[in-house]
Amino acid sequence: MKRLNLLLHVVSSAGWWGAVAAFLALAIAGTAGDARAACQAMAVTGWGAVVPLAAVSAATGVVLSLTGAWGLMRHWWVVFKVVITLPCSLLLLLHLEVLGGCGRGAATQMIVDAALALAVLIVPLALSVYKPRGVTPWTR
Amino acid sequence: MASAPTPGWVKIFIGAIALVIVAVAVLHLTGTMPHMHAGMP
Repeated sequence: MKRLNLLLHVVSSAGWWGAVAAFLALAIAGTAGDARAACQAMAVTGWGAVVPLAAVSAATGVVLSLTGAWGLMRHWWVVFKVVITLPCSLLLLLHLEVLGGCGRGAATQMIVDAALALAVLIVPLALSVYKPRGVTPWTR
Repeated sequence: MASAPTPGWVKIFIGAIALVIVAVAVLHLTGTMPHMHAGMP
C-alpha cells in the first residue's frame, strides 16, 4: 500500500509539472493564434489535469510523510515541500479563476504564470531527489 | 539539550521565500500586477 502511494505521488508530482508545461504551450499558442480557443483549452487543461494532479500530489505526499520515516515536520526538506506546494496550489486555483475572462491579455499573463510555476515546481521535485540533510528544531 | 544548528541551505530557502513574499506584496500594492484586481480582458 505504501509503495502504491509512493507511485501515485511520483506520477502525480511529475504529471503536475508536465501538465503545467502543456498549459504553457497553450498559453504561447494563444498569443500567436486564436486566443479564445487557447484560453478554453487552458481552462480544460487547468481544471482537468493540473488541479487534480496537484491535489493527488499533495494528498499522497502528506500520507507518505505521515506513514513513513521522514515525518511531516521532522526534516527541513519535507517542510519546504509542504511550504512550497500548498501556496502554489492556492495560487493555481486563484489564477485559474481569472481564466474565466479569456483574451489575449489572459494568454500573456498565463505564459508568465505557467513559466513561473514550472520554475517553482522544480524545487519540490529536486528536494525529493536530493533530500538535503537537516532536521527541524521541533523534532525529538 | 542543544538542538542541531540550522543548515545553510535552509537559511537560504527561508530568505528566498521571504524575498518572494515581499516582492509579490510590493508588486500588488504598487499596482504593477493589476490583473488580479481588475480581471482580465
